Amino acid sequence: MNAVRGMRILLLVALAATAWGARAGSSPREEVEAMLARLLRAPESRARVFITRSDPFGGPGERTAGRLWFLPGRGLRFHSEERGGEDIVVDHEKGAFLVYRPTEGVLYRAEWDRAPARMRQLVLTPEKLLDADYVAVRERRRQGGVWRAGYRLQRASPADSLPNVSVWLAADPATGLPRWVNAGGDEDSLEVEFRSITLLPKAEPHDLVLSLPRGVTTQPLDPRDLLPGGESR
Amino acid sequence: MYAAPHGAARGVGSISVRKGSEGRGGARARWGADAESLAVVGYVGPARVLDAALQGDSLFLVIRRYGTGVSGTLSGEEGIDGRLLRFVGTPWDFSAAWVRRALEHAAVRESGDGWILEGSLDAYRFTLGLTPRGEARSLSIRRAGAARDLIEMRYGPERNYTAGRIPSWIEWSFSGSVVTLKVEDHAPADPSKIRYGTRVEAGWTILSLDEPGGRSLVRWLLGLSEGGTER
Repeated sequence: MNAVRGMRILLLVALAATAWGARAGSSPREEVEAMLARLLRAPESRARVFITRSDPFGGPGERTAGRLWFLPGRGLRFHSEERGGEDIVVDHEKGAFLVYRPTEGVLYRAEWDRAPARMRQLVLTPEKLLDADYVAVRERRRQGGVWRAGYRLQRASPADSLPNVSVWLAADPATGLPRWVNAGGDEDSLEVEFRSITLLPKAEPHDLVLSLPRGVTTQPLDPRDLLPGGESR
Repeated sequence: MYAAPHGAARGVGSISVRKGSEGRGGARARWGADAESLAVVGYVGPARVLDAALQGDSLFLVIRRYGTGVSGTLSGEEGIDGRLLRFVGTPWDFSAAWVRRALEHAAVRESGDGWILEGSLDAYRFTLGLTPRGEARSLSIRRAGAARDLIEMRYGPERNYTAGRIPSWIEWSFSGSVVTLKVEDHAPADPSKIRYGTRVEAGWTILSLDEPGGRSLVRWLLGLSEGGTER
């Protein structure tokens, strides 16, 4: 019912992008911030993404293709292009958190405040990421068969908003926009390739609107109601 | 058949869940198994949504989406203990000593075009259906003295995988739920790569199995309700 954690990482790394436009002599952190600012100030960004997740038990990884829309201040959407893949929308203006699962023919609906807290923070206060207490280090890695210059982001303190994973990112040489991002923890890793990112001069809120076929039923997205406490993270 | 001793194995498959009139769902699953231990990770799309690990009677389970999980020792109060859950989780694996023993002591009779084995798995009774070739076709387990099965399993046709020949699909029916696993990969694994449990992140709530909330979470995840199987 959720690609939420993947989205969270995906959005984080989308925002923690590369040094496109960096001035000569700037620090890695400044270079990363320059790209962060470029993305954060765009009214809307769209991207086609390929996500490869490793097998925690040592087998081959698995690849998923999808599309991402991010409208700072308004919402975000991830649409999986896999057969039967999900469509996930958080829309602050409509106060909605939606998960559409075509295999079930069900739209799961919850209130905005039921969306994961980090996702809400990304939508409402994306520039807070600029204040995150992290250190950027230049690092070359082999990606897509080629050695690429990029940055490794490290937590500067355990209390910042970065997830507890190692994040590395590199730009598309043609556009300067983020292209390859790896996020890895102790157990497994996630590689995200942004095949294309488009920054729009004006937000188009209809990108957050799900186009649902007839016969789709709506159900509450409320398994946490079974449990004591439990704000989603 | 599947009772020969073997090393650690890992697998990949797709799971579909059907629960009465409440609709159906699906997920991807990866698992690693070694002796009496089993670790399972569930995914929806690119997101890792569930981690579960069983070592003996010790269960750890977390729904990452909600940062909520449960940890503790299975006492059998819910009708299932650790080693039965371990066996039921990978029901093609009959290699555990207590399962092998149960098979060796089972009563065997012909049934149509195959065989039926009936016997005891400690406090449970089992009925195992075999094809004429000795491949598992069905397995039902019930508590001794109970009127209804605790769980029923159906086995699909066997297929060759890297780690051996096992059913291509398994269907579990319990408490009104039907869960089907289509096995895509079954391969030898490095036991050191199978991690049981996961690092608990700050802010997660891990309930104890001794708490009502912890038991509710397990029952909700397993789709357990009162009564036996329903097909």
